[in-house]
Formats: sequence, C-alpha cells, structure tokens
Amino acid sequence: MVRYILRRLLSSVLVLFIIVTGSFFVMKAAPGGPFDRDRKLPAEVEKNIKAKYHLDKPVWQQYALQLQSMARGDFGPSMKYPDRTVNEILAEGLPVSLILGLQAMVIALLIGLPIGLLAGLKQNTWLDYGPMTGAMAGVSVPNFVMGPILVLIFAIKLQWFDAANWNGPAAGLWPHLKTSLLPSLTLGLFYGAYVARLTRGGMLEIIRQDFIRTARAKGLSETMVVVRHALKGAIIPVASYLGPAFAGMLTGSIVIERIFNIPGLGSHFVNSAFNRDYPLVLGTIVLYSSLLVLLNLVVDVLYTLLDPRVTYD
Amino acid sequence: MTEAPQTVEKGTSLWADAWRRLLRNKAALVGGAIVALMAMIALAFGFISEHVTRFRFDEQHLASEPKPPGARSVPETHFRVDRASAARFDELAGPDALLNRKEISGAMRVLQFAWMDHDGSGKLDPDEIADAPINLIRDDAVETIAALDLDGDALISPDEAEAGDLTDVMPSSEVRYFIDKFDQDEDRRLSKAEFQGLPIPEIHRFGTDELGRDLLTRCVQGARVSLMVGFIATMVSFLIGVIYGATAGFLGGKVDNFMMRAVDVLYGLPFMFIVILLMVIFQEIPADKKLYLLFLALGAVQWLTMSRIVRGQVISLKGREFVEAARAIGVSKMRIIFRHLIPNALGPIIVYSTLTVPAVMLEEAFLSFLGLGVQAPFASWGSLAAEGAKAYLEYPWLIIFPGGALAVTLLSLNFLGDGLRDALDPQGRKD
Repeated sequence: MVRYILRRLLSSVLVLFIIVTGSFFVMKAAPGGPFDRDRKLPAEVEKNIKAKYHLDKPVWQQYALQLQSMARGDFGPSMKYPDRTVNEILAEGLPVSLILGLQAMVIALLIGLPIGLLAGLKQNTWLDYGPMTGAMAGVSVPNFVMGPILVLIFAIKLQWFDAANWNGPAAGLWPHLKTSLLPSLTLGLFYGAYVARLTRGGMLEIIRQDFIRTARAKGLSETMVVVRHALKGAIIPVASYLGPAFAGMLTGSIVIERIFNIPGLGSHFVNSAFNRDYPLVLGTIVLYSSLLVLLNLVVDVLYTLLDPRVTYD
Repeated sequence: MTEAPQTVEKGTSLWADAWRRLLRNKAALVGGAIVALMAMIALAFGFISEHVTRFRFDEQHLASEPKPPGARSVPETHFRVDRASAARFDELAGPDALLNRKEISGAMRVLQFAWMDHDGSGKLDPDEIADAPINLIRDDAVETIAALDLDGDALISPDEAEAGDLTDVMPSSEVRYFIDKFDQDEDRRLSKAEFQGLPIPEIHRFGTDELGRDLLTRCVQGARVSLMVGFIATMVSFLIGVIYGATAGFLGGKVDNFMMRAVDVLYGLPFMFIVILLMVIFQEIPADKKLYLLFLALGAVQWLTMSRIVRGQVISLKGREFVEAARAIGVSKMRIIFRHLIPNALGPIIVYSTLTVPAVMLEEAFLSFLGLGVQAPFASWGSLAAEGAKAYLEYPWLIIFPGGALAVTLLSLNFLGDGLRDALDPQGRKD
C-alpha cells in the first residue's frame, strides 16, 4: 500500500510537470503579452518592466526560472496586480472554492445516495421511475440554466437566500448558508443525479448476489440485509466516481462562481488567461491539478478499504 | 421483420434481439425521435430561415431592449409583400406619385393598425391590444391602454397608437433597405412600377435578443452548431479511442502496458482546464478555424474512456475461436483488428458514443458560457443561453428557449443512450 501511494505520488509529480511545461509553452506561443496596452509604453519603461519579470530573457531561461521558483513553492508576482503575489491571490481564492466544492459534494451525496438506494430497492415501481426520470433530467440541465432557475425560485420568489455574493463561514452559519447554499446546490444537483443513477445500478447488481439471498434465507430483516450487506457493495461504483466528480466540480465551479459572483479561484483562472498573467495562470493550473491528483489518490485508497478485492500491489 | 434469410449468421440474432429490446423502450424511442427531429431542424436551417421564420440569424432590428415573444419586425431579406396594398399606391404616394421613406413608414403603421383592429372599429380595445404581437406590450393590456389612452375613452385611436409607438413596426433603416431592394432607378423613392406592396412584418415567436435578432432563427442556427459539435467531437474521440484501444488490446504485452499507463497519466490531467487555456490563448483566430479547434479539443477530452472500453472488449474477444481461426489461416493483424475484433466489440462502443454526444454538448455549452466557444454572429445553444443568463430576470425568454432546447436534446440523447445500453449491452449496465 505504502509503495503504491509512493508510486502514485511520483507519477503525480510527472503529471504536474507535464502540465506546467505544456501550459508554459502554449502561453508563450500565444500572441499578446501581459503588458500590451492600447497606448504603447515608452521603450525605456517597457524594457524595465520586462527586465523585472525576466521577460527579456530567452524563453527556455524563463522556463527554468519559473520551475526553480515553483519548486520553492513561490509562484512569483502577479503581472496584472503588480503589488500582489500569486501565492496571496491563490490563498485568498482557494478556501472559497474548496468550501463551495465540499458543500456541493455533500449535497450530491445526500441527494444521490438515498434516492439511488430507494430506486434500486423498489425497482420498476413508481419510486424507481419517478426519481430516475428526475435524475436523468438532472444530468441533462446545464448548471448555468439550473442556477438561474434556482435563483428565480428561492432567491427572488421565496426570498430565502441571496441571489449572489459570498459571505463566508466567518460571518456565521446562517449568513454563510444564505449566500452559499444556492451555488452549492446548483453545482451539486448534477452530480447528485449521477450518484443516484450509480447507486441504483450498484444496488441492483448487489441485491441479486448469492450472499444477499443467504442473508435473507437465514432470516435477517430486510433493513439488516440492506444496511449490513448490500449498502457497502452498492456504493462502490459511487466511490470510483468521486474522483471524476471532484474534477467536474472544480471546472463547474468556474461557471458557478461567475453566476453567483463568488470570489473563488475559477474567476482568477479564466481572467488571468485572458490577461496573459503568466504566473497566475500557472499558479492556478498547478493548484487545481495538485488538488485533483491528490483527491484522486485519496479516492483510490478509499476504494481499497471499501472493496477488499481491489489491491494495488 | 423481413430479414433476408441468408443473413442468419452469428451476429444477426444479437442485433435483431437488441433492436427488439430497443423498440420496447418507450423513453428511448421518444428520445431518438426528438434527436432526429432536432437534427432535421438543424439541417433545414437555410430553408427554415428563408421560409418559416423569414429572419436571417444575424439580422438586427434596432431596439432599446430585447423584445418578448410575439413582437413583430419586418425581415430585411426574406420579407413577404402585401399585394393588396400595391393597389393603394396612388392613395399612399400622394401628388408626386413616388413613395418616400416617411410615406412607407406611415403606411406600414396604418396597415399594422388595421391588422390589429380585428373588428374594424377604427380603435383598439383591450382585447385587441392583448392579442397584438407588437413590441410595447410587456405587461397586461390594461396598463398599456392606460399609458397610451390620451382622451380617456379606454380605446386607442390611430393617433394615440402613433404617439405611443404602439405600431412602430418598421424603423427607418428597414424602410431604407426595403426601398433599396425595389428601387431600380435609384432615386431613393419607389414609383408605381417599382412598388410591389408593403412588406409584411413577421412575428418573433421566441422574441429577440438585445440587438433585435430573431431568437427562433438563432436557436435553429444554434441547433446546427451544438449538434455538429456534439457529433463531430464524438466522432473524433471515437476514432482516436477505437484505434488506440484496439491496438493496445490486440498487441498486448509491453506495448499494451505502456499505452495504458500513458492513458492513466492522461486521466490525471485536468483536461477541461487545458481546453480552457487553449481556447483563451487562441481567442483571436478566425471563427471557422476555432470551430475545428473546438472539435479537436473536446474530442481529445473524451477519447480516454473510449480507448479503455475498446481495449477491454478486444482483450476479451481476442482469445475466442473465430480470431484463432482467422490467425490460423494467415489473416493479417490489421485485418483481424478491423474486420473481426472491432465489429464484434461494437455494442458497448456504440452505447458509449451515444452517451458521449450529450457530454460533449454540455462541455461545449460550458465553454460557450465562459465566452470561449463559438463566436458571434454564430451561436450555439450554449452561447445563447449564456447570453440569456446575464439578464434572466428581466428577459427570461432569452434563457428559457435555448436552455430548454439544450436540456430537451440532452435528455433525449441520454434516454436514447440508456435505451441502447439496455438493448445492446444488458450486462454492462453500471449506472
């Protein structure tokens, strides 16, 4: 197990290296630069600025410098916001995005697991068809359509929540939920629907196995059969979906943050790419990728705990 | 089922079986029908624009804000003319026997007013205003009447309608366009010989956006782009995935190990971020080239799972007797892959491809929402809905129609894909 984790971490470093290298050279190949203005800067000023950010050096040298400072965990100064470092900007946005993502994940599981289990247990009844049709609709409505619908209902009509902005958990539980529940719900519904479908599938498969029949035959109550024997097997497909779900939530949060005007990482990523703010682009990409790689590893380890048949050595 | 009898070979019963199972699945059939309908609408875009909506997707009708469904404008190119009004030329043109811009505009108002005035009373009552598909009516007819009714008789006379722009159906730019089309001697006026009749305003059935572009036409054009992106990007992923997966699975051993390890590494990449980066970086390239980039980028995201599925299929088929037999009689490796392995592995591949289409369309919509997908004046459902999402409280139709079309199509594709899976790959049902 330890060897497996070490090997995975090593390959993660490789993945990160590929990403950094790829993004760096793609950005350098693109037209435009961070200091393009409508009015041309005096040659002297431009030269100074470029020297400050090492933009006057050959590309491979810039690349080496970038890697060096990244290895120290320092992403350098932002080129768009000159008095701030990339590390500061990321440290500000990351908690916001993480809270949003975690809440969405909790919502997805809270919605998806019970519905999927119920549908699987009551296969081919209206308790199956109804929720499953709903789940199908859930995976078919884009989140930028779902978001406005939810806002119209819960923020405008019922006025339970705020339509935009972000108070943060420091403001207290209710003020935080007032701004964060709708975006988390928007982000989580899609995955909740998918989790419901996966759970139902897992349940259907498990419930037909011999050991379930044995459990029933020896007179266990149906609740016991489900809780003690079927449940664990049924959520295995869900566990393997958690990795892709996290990845999807990270990308999805870019849209959600825009709709709900949330100061997370997502807006920084797209804007910095537009502004050619090279260090900030690399910083966000590396941060996102590390998160993803790490979460995938955690999920895979969790998987061995759930399913003893899976070993990685 | 009138299958030719000589095709009773190994595969036939499987496909016939699958077909029968699919026919029993109502949701999948309805889904398939809706997808087919959408595809037909998308293909017939040119015809629909010319003969049904009569607006081009990029023609603008000046307005200060988006117009609701039911508003009317005179189409720039594909307008019909009201032949009856041609006979009234002398009366419309006045003593100089030429129609100028002002006169045409005025005549259009009169014509419009007459159309709205169903009972021919010369005044509009609340019922008639409620029916009238014109710009100004946003709230109920009573409010409009209150705003326009100057003399307090609860009816709108032609003068009051004019003062309140109630029948303002043809702005001066459109009149100019209309004159240009028929003005042969180029004196900027229409003579009796040139005048064919007044243009008939058409209804914006889905309303317009803030530039006064007909939303229905744009949605039809968006169907074209959205479906094209969905199907072509899926095809790209299909090609890469099948070739890659079949090769790895068939060759096996070290090559397979290496190829699949590479896929594992690629799985770890946050692909959408790279696609976003690519699309931002290549923001300035021409719109049509960008569409190709979009196909490639989205296809490249999806091929990984496809290659895994194909590989798994190929490995499980590889040891079967018919492959052994083919190898024994000296069939080349390439031929075995393409003639024996791929056709037999097709079931799960078809299923996965069908489910890839909605995934890709969703991704395209996501990119378009960030302003990175197809570019104006072209639109996809995603980019239209993204525009609508900016002011969905004031102008809900801007997000309802394109978003609804997208959701319905995705839902249909998902139902169809699910049905195909139940039919073709009954064991493979995992979610």
